[in-house]
Amino acid sequence: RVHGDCYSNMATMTSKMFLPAISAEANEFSKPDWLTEELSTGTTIAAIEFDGGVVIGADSRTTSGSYIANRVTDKLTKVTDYIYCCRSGSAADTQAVADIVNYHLNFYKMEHGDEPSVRTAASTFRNLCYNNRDSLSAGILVAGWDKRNGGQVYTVPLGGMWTRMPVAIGGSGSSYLYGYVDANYKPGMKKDECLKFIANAISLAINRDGSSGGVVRLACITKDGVERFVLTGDQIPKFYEDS
Amino acid sequence: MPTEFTSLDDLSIGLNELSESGEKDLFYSPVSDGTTIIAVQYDQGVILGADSQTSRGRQLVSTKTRFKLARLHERIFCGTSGRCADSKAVLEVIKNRLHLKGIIEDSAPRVRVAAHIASKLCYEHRNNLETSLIIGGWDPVEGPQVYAIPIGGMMTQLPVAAGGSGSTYIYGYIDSMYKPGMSREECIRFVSNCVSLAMSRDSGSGGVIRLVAIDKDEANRMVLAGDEIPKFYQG
Repeated sequence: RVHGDCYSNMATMTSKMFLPAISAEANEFSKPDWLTEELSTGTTIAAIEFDGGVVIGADSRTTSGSYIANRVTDKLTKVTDYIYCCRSGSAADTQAVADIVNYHLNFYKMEHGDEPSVRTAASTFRNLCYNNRDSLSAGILVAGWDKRNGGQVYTVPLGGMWTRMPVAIGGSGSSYLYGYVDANYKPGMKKDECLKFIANAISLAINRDGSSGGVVRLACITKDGVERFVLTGDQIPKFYEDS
Repeated sequence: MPTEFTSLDDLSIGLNELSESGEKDLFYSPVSDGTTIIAVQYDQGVILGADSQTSRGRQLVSTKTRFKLARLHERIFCGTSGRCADSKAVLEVIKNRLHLKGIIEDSAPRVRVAAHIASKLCYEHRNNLETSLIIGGWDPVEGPQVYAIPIGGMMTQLPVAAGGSGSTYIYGYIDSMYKPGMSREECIRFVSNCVSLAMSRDSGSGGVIRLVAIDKDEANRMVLAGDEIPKFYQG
């Protein structure tokens, strides 16, 4: 598992060892942006409910300014066996929050002897994001399956509000997708249609957003557990590309 | 004497002058086209579409029915976005120069010439202007063409171009839906869908959908208002 901290440590170590001797006073302004910028999952994430579960998807680019720190990031993070979250915003903040929620939900499962509901997970995310809204920069989609209400998607954007939505998108690349989602979403889609919808959405955003790229990661969560897919290279859906 | 714009626009110019006081209120922001403009080229012609809302800093809608597709010549129209004042100033100059060129050369000006005049103007004054244009039209030499001139003054010819604040929300839709070889009706439906989707997501776009369909026979202006605007999933 990749920690955001690991990369910033490496960056600091590198800068100390190999800083070019051009300027005696190397300050924050003379270092390139990829040594000083916080790691951001400037991103595209999407999630959709269907009867029987959810499909979630994300791109795989983590950037530090204009440097791509990780081109194969996994932004679909497990919080329980049946609940995943899609992370966008600061890599460090979202990893920390997801870890803490994972801890809380494990504790919940031990106490209650039963899987927590998606609503509980989303509420836990919301509590953390809202109470620390001044110091966090995290936009999260919580999606999963529970036996009470089936597949559910909750969005917890910046600021810490939460709401359930049948289809949700997030991250910097999501601006380009609102038109596509509004035009193409219809309630009652089946699992295969949902997979295609999310794959198309992520790949359209990757084409337009500089902070999104790499591979398309998908996951499908149903009562049978989680099925993960990766679309690389030619498998990524193509659209009319101008010459 | 402005002939293309309604009297409501003159009112908005007057309000703009009143707001020079610099106080931090609604009237402080310059009148700006939070806008959606889009142009598509098909075999026989070009379809241009735009919304009709002008706002002041997204808090006040100063005009609900502005006509953003300005006529540069019989078969050449131009959609503008960005600061209203800059757009209007630039359009007047382009219209004049184009008209002059038509007289000197004694033939209808070409779309490429109009776009070139526009881009040269925008580039020369790039430090002072904040306007981006989409020029679409038909001429007997090259047929239908669409040119995009974003802020800065670069000119590029594209089969489909979108601009304005509302355009970010529809890039995904445009990429997924556009294919070469669409018919006139399909293009009109595509453009109205695009503007409608953008209007429902962008607070700076709204009002009615204005369309201009240009081909070798005519430049037809259309309006889609109220129930005629395409509807999509509202969640």
